[in-house]
Amino acid sequence: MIMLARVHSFTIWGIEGYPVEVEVDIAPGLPGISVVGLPDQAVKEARDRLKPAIRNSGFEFPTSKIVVNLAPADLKKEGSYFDLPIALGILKASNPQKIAPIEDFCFVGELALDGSLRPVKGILPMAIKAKEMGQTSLVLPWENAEEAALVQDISVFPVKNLGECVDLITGKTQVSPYQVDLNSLFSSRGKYEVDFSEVKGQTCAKRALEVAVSGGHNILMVGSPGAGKSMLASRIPTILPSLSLEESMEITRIHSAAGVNQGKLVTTRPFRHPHHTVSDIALIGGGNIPGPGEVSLAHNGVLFLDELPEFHRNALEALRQPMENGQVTISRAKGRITFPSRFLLVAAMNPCPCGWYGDQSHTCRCTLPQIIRYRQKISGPLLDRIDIHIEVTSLPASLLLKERQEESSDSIRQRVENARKIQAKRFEKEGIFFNAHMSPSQMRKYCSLTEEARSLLEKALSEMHFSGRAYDKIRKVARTIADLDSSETIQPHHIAEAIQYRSLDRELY
Amino acid sequence: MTWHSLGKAGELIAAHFLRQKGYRIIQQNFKTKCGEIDIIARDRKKQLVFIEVKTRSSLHLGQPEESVTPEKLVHLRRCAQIYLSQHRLHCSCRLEILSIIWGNPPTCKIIPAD
Repeated sequence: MIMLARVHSFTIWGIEGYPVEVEVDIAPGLPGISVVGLPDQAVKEARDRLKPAIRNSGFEFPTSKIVVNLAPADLKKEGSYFDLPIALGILKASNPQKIAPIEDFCFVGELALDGSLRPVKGILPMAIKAKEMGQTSLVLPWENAEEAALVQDISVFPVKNLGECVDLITGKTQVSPYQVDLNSLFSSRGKYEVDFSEVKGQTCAKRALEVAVSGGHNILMVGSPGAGKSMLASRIPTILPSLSLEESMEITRIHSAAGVNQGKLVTTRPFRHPHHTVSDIALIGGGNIPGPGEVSLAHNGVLFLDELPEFHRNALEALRQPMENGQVTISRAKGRITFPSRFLLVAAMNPCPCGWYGDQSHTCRCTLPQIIRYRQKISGPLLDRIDIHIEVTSLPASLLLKERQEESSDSIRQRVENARKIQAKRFEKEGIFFNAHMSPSQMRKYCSLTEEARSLLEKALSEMHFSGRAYDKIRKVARTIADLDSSETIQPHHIAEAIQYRSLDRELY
Repeated sequence: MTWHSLGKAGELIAAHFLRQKGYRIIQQNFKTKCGEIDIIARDRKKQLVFIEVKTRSSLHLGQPEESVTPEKLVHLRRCAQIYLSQHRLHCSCRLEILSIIWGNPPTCKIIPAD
């Protein structure tokens, strides 16, 4: 009698699903399970979960030697995806006649001790992979059904427990595949809980954010504590253009691999705000088996770094590659993985260590060297990649108490979408999306200044001691401002506004 | 019957059962500082076999062989090695568990331990 069973399953490799064959062999010998094929601790512990789970589901656990092999044997396996496939493999190998062929199905799921199934992360990438491989049926825990069903053309069979799963494959119960209407799910997209109309005053800052979002310019807000930097930043996703279905799936895929989407389609743009103690690995991704970091979780959304100078220097420096390339490649002994990371960087900092430099109502207690040292914590190369710096001043009490109708996020977003449309048309053949990513030759081509604008910029450069780097940034930002104005050429007032957005380039005193 | 006498009775039955199966028993209760080997025997093909006897009076606590832990196997292997070196033997050998469930008649089962 052949006591061997083969079950299809999946694991996660980066943000991709990876097919795994679970082979179970039952042979005479001392009772016990050994799992081979580079399992990590969570997979090894499946051994102890299996026995109670199988017994409590009303099946018999074989008192023989069980060897479980997870192929390919050279790939590290992590997580609890294999509980269900191993359990089925054991049942199939010990009872080949009773259990029908299981080669047509793929299984993933974690088992509880009573035999019920618990959800696992990374279902969407697995479902996408299953479809690519031509697998037709996926059996998984109920909580994961909606996410898997986002992939059309594969049949998703959600089950509550091991017994139900066996009934399903033996055909004892007829189950129709779980289906979701992708379009209706997407169109009933989540609303943001915040809105720009809740922010009183701060008209300049709001305008600067609108420019930043339109042209994909990274932005740094400098302001005293309580001025409203975080409040403004958390509302940026509300003025970003609405997500397309592809973008939404892309985000969901990354969030699913990281296990942060709660089994749902992500329909709002992500807003990630890691604490300033974050490590470089947590920020850009990595680990023994590389997983996505904050920059990838912020893909197609906003990465907000509050208290920028407080971040570890190596964490900030690690940001440079993802910001430059829109993707981040993690190399480890186990292999290389590339994660997408196209995000808008929004940073906030105090003007000085005590926080009150330049404030109307408080006096700053810092010495000049202290302030200089504080600002030097942000390296030049990083600052290079931030196009817009603005000062956010705290609101005077009179304005704070005044009831005034502020502009809503919706109306700002319409202007942003318009400016983005102009850019999309302009860069159709250039392979970039935003003004912020223009190369010097593209800038010569697209940033034509009028005569007055040129003379204004020259004057500003000589009088305010701007560097050559600042000169380029001003032209790029001015291009975006002109786009918001639907203007073909860059006018003097566009330049004038862009000059306002270089506050950190100016002298301190 | 106490657990000690159950074990002793089990070993008596084991010896009888093994002889029936064609094993020739060389030594019983081989004691070393690492532990004890219940039975050392040669099978029909003259291969050396180290046998651990496990006896249970009921199945309330599971099959007898389930109580042989990996640690216990390590001890058995070490004892076997001591036996081999004491007798300057360089032959192939194997380890088996003899599981006995007490009853009338008792049921015996030989299980390879590797």
